[in-house]
Amino acid sequence: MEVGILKNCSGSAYIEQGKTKIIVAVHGPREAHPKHLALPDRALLRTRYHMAPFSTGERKSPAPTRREIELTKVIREALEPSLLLEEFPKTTIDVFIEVLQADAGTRSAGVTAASLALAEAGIPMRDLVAAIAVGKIGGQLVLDLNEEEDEHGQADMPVAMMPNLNRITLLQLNGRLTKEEIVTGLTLAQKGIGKLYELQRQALKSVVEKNIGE
Amino acid sequence: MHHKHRDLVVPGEQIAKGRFHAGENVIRLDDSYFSTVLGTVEVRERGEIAVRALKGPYMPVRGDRVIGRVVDVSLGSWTVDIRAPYEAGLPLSHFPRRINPVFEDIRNVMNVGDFVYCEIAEFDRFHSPVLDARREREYGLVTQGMLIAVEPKRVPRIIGKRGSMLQLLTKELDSKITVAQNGYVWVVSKNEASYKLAIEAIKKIEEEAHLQGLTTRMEEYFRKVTLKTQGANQVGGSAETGSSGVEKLE
Repeated sequence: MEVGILKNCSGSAYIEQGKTKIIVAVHGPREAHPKHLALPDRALLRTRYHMAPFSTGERKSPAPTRREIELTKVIREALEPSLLLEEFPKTTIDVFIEVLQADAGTRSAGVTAASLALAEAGIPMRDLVAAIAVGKIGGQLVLDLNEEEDEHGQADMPVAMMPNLNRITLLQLNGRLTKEEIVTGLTLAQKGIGKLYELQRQALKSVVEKNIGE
Repeated sequence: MHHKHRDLVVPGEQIAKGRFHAGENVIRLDDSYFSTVLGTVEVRERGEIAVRALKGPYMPVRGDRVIGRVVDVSLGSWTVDIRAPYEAGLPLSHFPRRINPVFEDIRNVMNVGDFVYCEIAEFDRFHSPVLDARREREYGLVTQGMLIAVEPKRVPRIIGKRGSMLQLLTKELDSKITVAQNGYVWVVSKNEASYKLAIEAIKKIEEEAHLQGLTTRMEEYFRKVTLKTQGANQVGGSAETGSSGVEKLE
């Protein structure tokens, strides 16, 4: 994970999780255009999740697909509870999530990186958000699936959390899991998210500390 | 306390537990206090804890002195970009000189792209900021010198405690320096060399804004620079500074 890699935006982050590579740029808070979209009491959070045409094995059409539109919404709703949007009424905060290389888990990696970019932009938030997927392969619960595991597994459950507040902001499930599996899966996810959070923290702090070097 | 004064914290990091006063960028949940931004912990009087953000948008405050760029001209006012989330307006009536738009083209007074030094006259959550350029003699069009853009949240370090850093800069650079709250440093100097030095020095302050003892360190820095220029008779073109964020005016 790395932050502050782009210059033309308020905040940015880059994440590599396995073979998944994602870049995130945050713009704003800035004046909302078109004006009628602006909310009188808080900032409007707009996200865009997009996969580059070259991010997958077979060329993906650059037009946003049904899936991308859904993920855009899901990611926005995973980030929204963490942000103190009331501090910037009538503005928008735009988050652009660009998947450069996809190897499953792009929505969770996208959330992790987006939260990091928002923090780098200096937008106040209750907590960072980190996300990871729990899966089931051959009856075994595993963490952070890759493309192959995702395809041949029995279930995939992305989880996003605010680690310090211990709150879940995103929970989806694809496939079948028993009640017990969900509970153990969540504790597993919690562990993984704790590790991701530690990496996020390091990434944020290193951007400051690298200046002291000389 | 989980963190000391001046510790670096990230959003969501717990700073303290117990009975305190939640200051700027700090939220309280039950008896725990969390930071909401990336910044340094400030332990203040009467148990107040705050976090000083390292980066973030400039939020206008009434009375702030700012430098903005004119982005639009309309009949009775200018629209000014003050690097805030909101666009500011400078009405014709708030300009230092009386202008009658019937007889005079206000684009000749200030046009798109010009910089103006003024103060925030009005701002709250319902209205966009309104500027005023009448209160001080220096207010008005920025016509000479150089503008250096810095992170607005780091402006207090460029001014220093009771203006100590600003005094040091003014003395060492032998120039007139105006610091705008929205993150513009306006340098006016007679010699070309001090412009170069000004960029370097101010960028250095900006980069090390989160560290303690900055004024002493800058004193040291200037001492080194003067020694170098005296000793080596100025090595030609050694100061290669990126042009990013620097605006040179006629």
